[in-house]
Amino acid sequence: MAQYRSRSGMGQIFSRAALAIALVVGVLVYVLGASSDPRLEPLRRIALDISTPVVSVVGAPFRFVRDRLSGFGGSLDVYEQNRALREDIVQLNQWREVARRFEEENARLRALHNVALAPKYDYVTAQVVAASGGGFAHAVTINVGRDGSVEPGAVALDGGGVVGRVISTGRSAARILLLTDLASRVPVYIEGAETPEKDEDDDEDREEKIVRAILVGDNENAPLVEFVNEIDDIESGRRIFTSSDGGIFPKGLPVGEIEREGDEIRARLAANFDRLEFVRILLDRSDRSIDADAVLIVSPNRQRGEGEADADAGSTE
Amino acid sequence: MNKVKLSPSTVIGAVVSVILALSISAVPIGVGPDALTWPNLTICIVFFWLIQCPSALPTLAVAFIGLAHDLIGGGVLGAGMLALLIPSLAARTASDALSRTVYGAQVIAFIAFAAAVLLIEWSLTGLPRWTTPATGPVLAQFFVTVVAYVPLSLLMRKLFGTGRR
Repeated sequence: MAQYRSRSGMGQIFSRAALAIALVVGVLVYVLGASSDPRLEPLRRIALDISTPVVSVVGAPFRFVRDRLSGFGGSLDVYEQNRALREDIVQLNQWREVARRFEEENARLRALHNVALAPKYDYVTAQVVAASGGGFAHAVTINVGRDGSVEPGAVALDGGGVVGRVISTGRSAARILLLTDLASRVPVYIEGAETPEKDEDDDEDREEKIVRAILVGDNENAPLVEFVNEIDDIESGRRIFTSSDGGIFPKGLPVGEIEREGDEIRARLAANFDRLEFVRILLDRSDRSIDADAVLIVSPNRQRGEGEADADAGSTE
Repeated sequence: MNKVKLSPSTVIGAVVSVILALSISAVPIGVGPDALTWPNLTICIVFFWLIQCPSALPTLAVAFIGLAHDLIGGGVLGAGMLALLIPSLAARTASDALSRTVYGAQVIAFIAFAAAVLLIEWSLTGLPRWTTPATGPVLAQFFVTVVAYVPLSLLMRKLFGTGRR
């Protein structure tokens, strides 16, 4: 207080002006940030490009210690791990045979029906170099950005399933919003759920045994499954996949399994967030160029009006 | 006087400590729901400088640090900025009195400061979606941050030769 009193009048004015500017800018940034205004995107990009190398260097000793501790912990139960792995190999060999049979059958059916496949996706593998450590945001930063063809909206996966999607890209870094974040909304479908009240005459309805929903992050370990169109049919253990509704996610990527307690439905995620060091980013390689003459969509009335106007113009000429 | 005198080395010390705090807070020790609860070192460093040498961390610098925290952390832009800025005004006002008190009183003031920052950020994060974010991770971070402040502030006092009565 004494320090403030001893300040000159100009100093106090400057100090109050700085405070006012800081508060106004803070409120403005918050309003724009809360509404996800795209005008803040350049700021995010610059911050990503500047902060990623710094965090990567500063975090190196921490990552080293974490890896050594984790390695030491793993070596203690190496015998158990070996036994579990051998059991997995036996099971996987059985599944490999099943998968081969399905692959052959699938290829035959595709050839029979001349199926047009979904657009091909390529992928790039990136390292997680930074993460939000607080309880407010669940996001990670990876070391691949626009230079690696990663664009906002791209889907991120680990070995188990979907991790999240890219929300911001710098030149050599990108930020991924995790499925558990408060801002995350992902359209999904739940496999194997019977749709009740089926129309006997409608074959399509009878065949479609999937339930659509939205995966809503709330910063908890297991995101909520909301807006379920057939809530009675949802049981724990049902698998959840991404649906292509909204055009962001490709259809059929594994998300997790249903965990139901009464009316609250949550998703136990398939991705392993515990050791998320590398992620795969799906790159959409489908050709989006327009190779035909564009057709204007004009309302019939407007077309008629323009036609009449042309006719009038012709008659005057 | 227990305060750190404003000098080029103090300013450099403040800048370096803030950059380190922001960077270490972003180190991925576990990710997302499985992340290890990590102290918010930015709060610790900002409070330390506000008490020991407020001139080294003017109001606009605090606002910038809050914005950088939001940009690196990936939360709602501006939430962390306002959350850091508002309690920092009170801390700046009380800095003279706090720098003369015993260390225990400073720690108690820090607990109030950290609680205010996290509470404001929690409210501002949930406000745009009209929802209440999970309280568990925020409470855990609050406790870890308070625990981290004690050794960190003692180390800083040692480094900058302050706090001896």
